[in-house]
Amino acid sequence: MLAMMDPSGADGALRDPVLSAFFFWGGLYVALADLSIHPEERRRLQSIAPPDVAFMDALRNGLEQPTLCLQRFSKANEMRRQKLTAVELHRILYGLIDVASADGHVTPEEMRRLREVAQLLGVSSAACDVIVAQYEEEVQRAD
Amino acid sequence: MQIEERLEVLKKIQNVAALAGLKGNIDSEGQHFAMGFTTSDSGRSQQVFVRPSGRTPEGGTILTLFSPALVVKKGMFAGMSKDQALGLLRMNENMFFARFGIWESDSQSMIVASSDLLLETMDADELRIHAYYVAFAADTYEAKHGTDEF
Repeated sequence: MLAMMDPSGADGALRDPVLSAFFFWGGLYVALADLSIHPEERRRLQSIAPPDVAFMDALRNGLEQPTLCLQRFSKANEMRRQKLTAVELHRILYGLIDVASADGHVTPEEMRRLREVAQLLGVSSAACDVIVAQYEEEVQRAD
Repeated sequence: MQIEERLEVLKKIQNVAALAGLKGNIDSEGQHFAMGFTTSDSGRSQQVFVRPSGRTPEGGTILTLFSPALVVKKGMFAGMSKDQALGLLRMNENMFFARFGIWESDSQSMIVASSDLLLETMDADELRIHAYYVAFAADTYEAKHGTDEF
């Protein structure tokens, strides 16, 4: 689970612009689990920040009140006209893992938050672990 | 279906399976996605394969989940009996999310449990339920014939 991961990430994990709010707010919540943010995680989050988001404010607010990130994440879900498909759910979780592993590894605290976000989407912890393992395999194969 | 498109479909199946907490692999030739299930406390197991099998008139991708249950050799004094075939039809009437069918080649008949899903609307729970039912149906038939080959 905590195996070192390639900071370059899985191919295209964060490319879907329709899901950028999920990637950003969920990713910020997970990445701030360690109460600091790695420059690589920061770079990856900045690259997917929705246009209406002031990055530094989001970062400060996320550190002070992490639940705000979860609220914005849930709001992104509520704003959708259609429920997320299974393929989209997987893409979101893959994207969050991609942000969390930007510094080379997913810490236990990040993993705990990842499972928490997954639960918000109706995805079990067991499934979340399978997806992390899948991500690790894909990154190792790409090396 | 071109091989690239097929692999893309199989990758999506793998992703939805992961979302359901199911591990599996895409075979090296890109023919199917395979998952293994434990079907009883006594250690019986069953493999379930998923592959793209067709298109709806609207262009949706039809997936077939299948699990081999028994191979019957063809030939004189061999092959499937009429009673065996009728038995499968009767079982079909009492099963959910699976049906039995017969895949034939020149030398053998394979009895297979299967089910269909639409990729674009399939959710993780749906895939899990169909896969379990197909595995259970095939394994029950296999156990009835005293084997655990698949």
